[in-house]
Amino acid sequence: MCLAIPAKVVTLEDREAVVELGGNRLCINIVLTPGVKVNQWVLVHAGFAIATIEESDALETWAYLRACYDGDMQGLEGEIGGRRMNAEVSEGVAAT
Amino acid sequence: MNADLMTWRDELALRCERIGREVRIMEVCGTHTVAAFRSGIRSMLPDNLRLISGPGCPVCVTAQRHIDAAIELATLPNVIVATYGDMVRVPGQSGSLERQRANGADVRVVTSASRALSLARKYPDSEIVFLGVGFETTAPATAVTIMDAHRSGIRNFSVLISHKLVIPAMSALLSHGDVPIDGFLCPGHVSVIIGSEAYGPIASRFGKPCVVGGFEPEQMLKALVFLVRQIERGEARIENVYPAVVSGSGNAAAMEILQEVFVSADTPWRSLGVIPSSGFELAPAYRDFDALRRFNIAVGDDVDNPACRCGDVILGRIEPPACELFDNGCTPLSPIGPCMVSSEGTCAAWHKYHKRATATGALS
Ligand code: SF4
Repeated sequence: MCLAIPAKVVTLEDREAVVELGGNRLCINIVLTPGVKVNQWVLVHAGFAIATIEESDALETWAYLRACYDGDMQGLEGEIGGRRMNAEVSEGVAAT
Repeated sequence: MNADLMTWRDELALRCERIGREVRIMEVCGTHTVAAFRSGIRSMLPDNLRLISGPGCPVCVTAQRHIDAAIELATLPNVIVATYGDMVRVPGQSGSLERQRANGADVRVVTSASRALSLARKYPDSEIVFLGVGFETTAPATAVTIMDAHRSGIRNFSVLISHKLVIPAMSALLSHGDVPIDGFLCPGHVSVIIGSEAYGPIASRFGKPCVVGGFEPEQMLKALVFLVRQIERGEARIENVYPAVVSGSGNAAAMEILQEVFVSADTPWRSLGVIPSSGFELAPAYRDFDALRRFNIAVGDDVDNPACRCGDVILGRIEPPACELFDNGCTPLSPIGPCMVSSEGTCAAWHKYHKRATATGALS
């Protein structure tokens, strides 16, 4: 539940940003990373950017995540605290 | 296996052999627990290196009394409880939120505190109670959301505050003193927020090396090597081998927001009891958002199932197979204790990944 995933900022608007995360677009809050810019990479945790990171580090992490969780995105979602990436984009709440 | 990985593995083996006794390193992060199994790191460790899982899974350390309070809140009329997914299955004294939901309670899984606030906007005639669990990584999201609710004048939103702080828990474990620990593999993403320097007291007061590490196999092995180097030399320093992500002082914006919304508070942990200043309560300006206060819920005590040894697991006293119920009545499908519920729980991780589930369980 303390895992954070790298995502690339696509657009910025006030306190929110749209990021690309493993092929999904996700709207996140960027209050915790003031000064973040479009095309920068951030670590996303529970719908919030918590740090900015270098692209090379982000890509390395994604290479690891893909290798480690290959075909098991659900496992990855489980390990980052039940995050449903698509649901978060489309309706915001996974009302299971 | 790549060359770097082999180099780290070999140095680890060499140094552990030179140390010549059991070396006990604790990680305090559910993500490290799982990553160590998943990436195969555990199988690369020298025989005399014990990687112990400490109280690092936020679901597992949530006091039963807070689960009971959440269940009580869910039974109130017109209340919607919004929570991160793993929490719905954690057993309280009687049942779980999942069971309450089957009985008609409105319990929703959300992926972010801000989504819980969206529910409050969407259902203005209902009361939305968000379960604020998690360590320093997660607490800032709760804090920002409470500030947003305050700023927007949203009155039908409140939070059951059950956030936990890592350093007081590490201190409490060391003060207990009954579980020998040679050093800590410190949690990467908690450290994004608090900064690596926050581990100062653990190194200086308790004389334990602290190394902040990432989650990839190479990063974890490297962190373990840095730890055994210190252990071999009898040093106790903070080292950060995850500098791409973790700074010395942490995330200043997040720390400022935490200080604005919360004040530190003595907080109950499952099995560890109440640890001084190990969690938060709301600062006076935000107290209206305290769910316990709003609904006048009294928090009781924990009454753990005596057969479940989660307490010993969380404290690093035993490994899961030492519990008689492990895979023998307690499985992720029908968990008896919280350590089997969360995907990051130590028992669940052992169940899923550990091939030698019947191997010796007791550590000491
Ligand atoms: S195996 Fe189940 S009952 Fe035993 S300690 Fe783990 S969670 Fe508790």
